[in-house]
This record gives sequence, C-alpha cells and structure tokens, in this order.
Amino acid sequence: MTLKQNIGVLLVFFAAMLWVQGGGGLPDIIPIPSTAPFPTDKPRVLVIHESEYTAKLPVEQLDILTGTRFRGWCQDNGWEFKSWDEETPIVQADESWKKALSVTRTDTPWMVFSNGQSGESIPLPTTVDSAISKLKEYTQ
Amino acid sequence: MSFRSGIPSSMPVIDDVNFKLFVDEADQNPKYGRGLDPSYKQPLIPGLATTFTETIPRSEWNDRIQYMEENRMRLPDLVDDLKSRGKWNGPRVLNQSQTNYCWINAPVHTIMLTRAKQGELYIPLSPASVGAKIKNFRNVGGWGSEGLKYIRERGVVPQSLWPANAIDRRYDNEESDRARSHFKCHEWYTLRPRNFDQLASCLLQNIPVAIGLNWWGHEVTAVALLRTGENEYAILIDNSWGENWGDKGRGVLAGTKMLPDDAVAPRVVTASSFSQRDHKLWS
Repeated sequence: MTLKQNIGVLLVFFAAMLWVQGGGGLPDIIPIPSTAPFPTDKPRVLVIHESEYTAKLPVEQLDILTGTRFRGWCQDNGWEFKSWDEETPIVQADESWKKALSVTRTDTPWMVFSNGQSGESIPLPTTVDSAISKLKEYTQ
Repeated sequence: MSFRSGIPSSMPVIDDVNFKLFVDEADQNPKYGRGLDPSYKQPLIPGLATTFTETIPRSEWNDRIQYMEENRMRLPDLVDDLKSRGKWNGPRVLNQSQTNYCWINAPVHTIMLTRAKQGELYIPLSPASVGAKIKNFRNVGGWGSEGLKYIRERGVVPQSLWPANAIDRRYDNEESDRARSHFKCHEWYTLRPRNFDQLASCLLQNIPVAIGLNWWGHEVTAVALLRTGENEYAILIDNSWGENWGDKGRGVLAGTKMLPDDAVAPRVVTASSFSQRDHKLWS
C-alpha cells in the first residue's frame, strides 16, 4: 500500500474507534441553543405590571392584564397565562414562573413568554390584538 | 347609546328613593345576614396598605366604561368567562347565610376575584376561617379593613378545610393553618370614606373593592362602574346572599347609597402552585 493509502486506512480506523467509543449511534446533532427567556415544559406567558400605577395605563393595555379576551385566546391555544404585579410573593410558585418573573426588564408593564424552545421578553404590546399576534409567532 | 345597557332588567337598582325597601327586605328575612359593627373605627393599617393617591380623571370615565363593557373586560365578565370554561367551579358570589359575617365575606370575595385576575387556580375560600379567628368564634359584626389586615398577616383557608360559614373551633387545626399561607393578601388600597372618585378609579382598573355601608348595616363587593346618565354613575356589586338574590347574586347601587363608609381594595395576592394532593384537597 502507498503512504497515502496507509494514512487513509488509519483515518478510517481512527474514525471507527471514535464512533464505537461514542456509543455506536449516529453522531449527535449539535443542539441549537434555546432562545427561550425562561425554562418551561409548556407554553407560558406572564404579564408583569406595577399594580400601584395601572391607573396610568391605557385601557387597551389594561385589557391584556385583566380582561377576558387575551387570556381566553391563551387558553384556547394552549398557553398558560399569569398577570402578576412585580412584587407578587412567589415563594410558593412553580420554578418556571419564578424564573419568568425574574427576567431582566427595563420597564413595566412587561410581557415574557416561552414555548420551551423560544420566546421573547418585551415591553407589553399596546393592544390585545398585538399581544395575540406576538404569541401566534411562537404557537406550535 | 343606552346608558343602562350594562344593567339587565332583572338586576335590582338600589338608590336614594327605594333603599328602605332593601333595608326592610334584610330586616324581615333571616336568611339575609348582615353585620357591620357600628362601634368600629377604621384603623390605620400598618404594613403594605397604600393610601390611594392616583385617581383616573372623570373626563376619561365614559370612554373607559364603554370600552370595558364592549370588550367584556370587567370583573363579572371574567368570572362568567371562567365559569363558561369550567375554571370557576362554584357560585359567582358567596353566601354568608344567617351569619353576621358580611364584613369578611366581601374581603374574601375580593381575594378570590384577585386570584382569578392573576391567573391563579379557582379555590373557594372560607370567610368564617378569618371572621371566627378575629372575633374569637363569635357571630358578630366587623369591618372589611380589619378582615383584610388579618388576611395579610395569616391568610384565609379553603372551604374544603373550613366550611364557608362554620364559626366552629373544630376547623382551626394544623391542616387549615398550613393551607392559609397560600392565600394571603400582599398589597391593597385603603380608600377614603365616601370618596367616589377613588372607588370609581379602582373599578376602572378592575380592582375589586370591599365596601361597608352604614345605611344598610352591610358590606358588599363593588366590581364595576356603570354609566347611568350623561354624567351619572352607579356601581355594580356582588352581594354575599347567594346567587338567588338579585341578578345571579349581583345588584346595583346608585346615588348616595353607593358611597362607602369603609373601603378596602386588594391589589396583589400570593401566587401559589399547589401539589396535586393539595389542589385535590382544596378545590
């Protein structure tokens, strides 16, 4: 065999050893890093506000926080919904929701949502329709 | 526009002209318990109670009322919506029966409404678990502000562990005490007595208000602001006399009869995720 052939055989042997050592299966697909702002095993959306200042909110935004349309859409489309003051006591809450409340925010009101793989952490949209449109982008 | 579009014809409207009929109704019917303590003075509640400062200008009221009605975003709409989805598995309003515990039924109802607003699971809560503890297991009157103070410090027990009207020491046990901590009020407003702008501003933010009314000797929960004329308003109330009173337990107060002598409005309650065992036990 030529030198090139010997090197080729060695490379194949080396690759085979690595394959066996790795468990013999197909090589793992490199995981795509999650872009979810908080970990969750189901789609969840948290609206965060300061209850002392909701008098200053436009009624269209208050509708997202307290009305029936946004949370009804969430329920119909498999999203769990919470609307919390940023000081809500959460010691007894689920870990996933705790992490949702602790995302970095630059303002209130705020909306953070995750379908487990991806999501966003953004200022609260200005209307129920725009909030629904945003979630639709992440609804599987 | 029909100013009274939000008021079904079956709903009682109590005003300065007809209010005596409703006082008589309560006087003559033993199943309608009441109970404000006339000797009680509203205390300055320490802790996280906030004196109300931010009112919504009257110039915005009509537009807000119209939007909230048209988009079904008021608290009664939320309860009705949850009920239709099987997420509020009980009556829309509490029923104090023959107890004198209206003063604690209203604050506990505001806690249940605030939980619904936050997206917490429906758990029916027991007014007697608070009232009996405050009054040393006596069936006597009180005021909502003292009830809410206790709910902040100790919490309220689910009805499954302490029946709604049971003024009975048997239910004051380790299990009910453990459950209380999941149902506390964290922040609330104390409104100035007889201040309608503060009351209206809470309702326009969907903040329920427990209101004590001397003329009725009764405490109820204000849940929505209604427009009844060009610049006339009324409030929608949830009473605590069960769903057979008024329109599914609801009625309307107008004129000076809607001005509260005591008013407290919870804004934030404990967020809880329960174990399956606890949820089954408390639901």
